[in-house]
Amino acid sequence: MATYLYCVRSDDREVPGGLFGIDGAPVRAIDAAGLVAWVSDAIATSVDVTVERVRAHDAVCAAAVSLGETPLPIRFGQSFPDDGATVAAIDARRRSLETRLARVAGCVEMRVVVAGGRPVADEHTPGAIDAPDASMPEGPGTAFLRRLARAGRADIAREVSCEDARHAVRDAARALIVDQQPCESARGVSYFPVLVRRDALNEFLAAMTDILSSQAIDLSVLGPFAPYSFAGDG
Amino acid sequence: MSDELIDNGALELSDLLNRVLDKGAVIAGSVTISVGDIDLIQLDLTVVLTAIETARTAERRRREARE
Repeated sequence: MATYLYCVRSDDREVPGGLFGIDGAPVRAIDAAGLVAWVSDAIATSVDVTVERVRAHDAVCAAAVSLGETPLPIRFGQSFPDDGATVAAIDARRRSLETRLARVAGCVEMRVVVAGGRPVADEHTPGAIDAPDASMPEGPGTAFLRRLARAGRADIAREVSCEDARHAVRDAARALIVDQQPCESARGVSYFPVLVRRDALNEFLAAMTDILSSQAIDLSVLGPFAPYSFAGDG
Repeated sequence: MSDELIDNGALELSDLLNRVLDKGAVIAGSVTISVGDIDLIQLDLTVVLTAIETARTAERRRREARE
């Protein structure tokens, strides 16, 4: 039976009763080289992605973050042949894990999502691919390229808005933010992760509300989450 | 890519997948995640979402064909 790993933590908080992970397996804690790992049994060391499994992984990390010291969430899909192999893998990276645990201690991740962007001027450069030419019949290829060009402009506008929002958030909540990552874009939205002190969460949310009301930026705040974006080597 | 806004459910799912599949500490030397027979290493979120939806559709069709 393989061992699936969810998170690593520095304290020995007990796993809450009735906490189930991937495929409904009960979550348990194992001692791992001076750290504690939350794991469950898994059928194999290769885990296929399903939305349900991703949700289960995240739910375990969320449960872990709600107790005691902030855990270091592990990326989805890391499964080992058994508990011993899991402990050995953690032991081999113990120093790095301890450094990262110290970095996220007392914090949670919030994700600021910027939807839309500044309005894109509907101007066309003569001769540009997205400039319609009334004298030429438009084929499907031209229409496709024109859509791509428009989408490209919208992507750029959204990313500019995201950077604006990131600076506005940093300025408004500088004292509350421990760390911040650059903007990323996916599926029509841009977003950036922020590491916020747990005891300053309400102040942070109030600062975001102020930004919403004072600036023309359409943003949403998701979280709190286990600090996935700050658990890596960066 | 379209600039239309995605609804809250899609936004949360998109964010969840981005967070859990693409972030977090990596303990194993390499992580192989897959949908069916499709390895998803180093594929971006859009592809992951598409692959999951495609895999689910294929599975649904297989199930329907069996019934």
